[in-house]
Amino acid sequence: MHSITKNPALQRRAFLAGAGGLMLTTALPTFAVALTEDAAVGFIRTVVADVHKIINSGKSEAQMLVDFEAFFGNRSEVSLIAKTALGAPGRSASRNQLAAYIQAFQGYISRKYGRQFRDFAGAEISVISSRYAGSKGVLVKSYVNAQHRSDYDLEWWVIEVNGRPKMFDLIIEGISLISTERIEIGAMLESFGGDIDKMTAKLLVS
Amino acid sequence: MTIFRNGGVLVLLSFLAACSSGPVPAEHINDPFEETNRQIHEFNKAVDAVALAPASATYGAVVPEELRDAVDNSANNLALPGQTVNHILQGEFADAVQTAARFALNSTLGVAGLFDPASDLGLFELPTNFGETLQVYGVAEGPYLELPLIGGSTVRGTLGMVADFAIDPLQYYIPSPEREYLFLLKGVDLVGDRHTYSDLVNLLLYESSDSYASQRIAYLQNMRHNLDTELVVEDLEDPFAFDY
Repeated sequence: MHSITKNPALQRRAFLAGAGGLMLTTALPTFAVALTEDAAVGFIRTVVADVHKIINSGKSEAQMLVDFEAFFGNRSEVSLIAKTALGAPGRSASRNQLAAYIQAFQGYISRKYGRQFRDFAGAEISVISSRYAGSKGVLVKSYVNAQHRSDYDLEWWVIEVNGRPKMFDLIIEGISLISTERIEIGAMLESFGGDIDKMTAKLLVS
Repeated sequence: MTIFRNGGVLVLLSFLAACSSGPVPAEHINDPFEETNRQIHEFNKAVDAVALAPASATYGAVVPEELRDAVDNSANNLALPGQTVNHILQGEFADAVQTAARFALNSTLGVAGLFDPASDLGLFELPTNFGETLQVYGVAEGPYLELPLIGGSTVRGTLGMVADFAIDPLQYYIPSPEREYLFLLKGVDLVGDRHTYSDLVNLLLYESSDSYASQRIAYLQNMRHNLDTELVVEDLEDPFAFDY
């Protein structure tokens, strides 16, 4: 891990990885290019500004949830998060089943985590440091100073998809959203005997 | 008696140390007692539903926030002497000094710990426990355990809790009736914490499809995070593994 101050060795590595990725991009347009640490940190600063704007908007909870869903759809790679949470069972699903599931997942996850935001008016998120993980992306660490509850660490896993930085995972005090949702979606799917359509219907009302 | 007790702990520790430690991948779960753990989980959930959750709702509604904060400060303050001992055992002397200074300041200027002037001076809490001390000495976390009335733990965490009770300097200095009051204070603080984090606890216990598995991953990942066993970049899964 290194602090936000420039680390030439890491930057050089990031640059080389970026250059290598560029050549691949011409051959395979959808291949993920390694993201530089600076780009990831800059992206998270924008994301943090988005979050501050939503939680301090003074809007009603219902309106905040709408804003949060738009934010989530815009800043994170929802389809990849949804598919990662579903895991292997998704491979045998039809294109339509998968599309419906991803759509339902986006609403479900925005409502579930958006609801947690209502207590966070006045909270301050500051970016502290970042770590470069090559083709896996960049981890950006931040610190949340919340009113009326203990401060906590919030880590953002940023990846690059089609040349643009996107959120992949949120790690709150060590607890990964992806790990949590993988368990949740797995348990839900099991409770419907592996029926993705029934699980999708449940997600729509969760 | 004391020697015998410590001897027993030492034997267990050397057994666990032999299991070796080292960083654990974030999603790693070692749960050979899952069946029993799940039964205890159902018991704990029932206790929460009939006792802890209603008590915390009442507590939050009746007791003003300032008083709840004071109870929380006070309970946290009482944990500082034990944390100081653990920082010393871990060789983290600067942390030990900061924790001891925090205790001295909050116990005096902070009126027996009701207020937290130390944080205003930058002497923040550096929470630790004997479970972390064991980790520093190379003891592996061991199997996951859900403990009755306590919740998520591991074999290492459970041994640490027992040891924390034994090494807490306060219990040797505070005479008997007051000691019991302090225990009561910790109980009230638990009710307060259940109120402060009610959204999160309710999400975990009552809104998840498998509350046992959800609590287990949350406990393990949070515990590993608190022990500074940071996510290792090399251990990150491939984010594009499911890009089908």
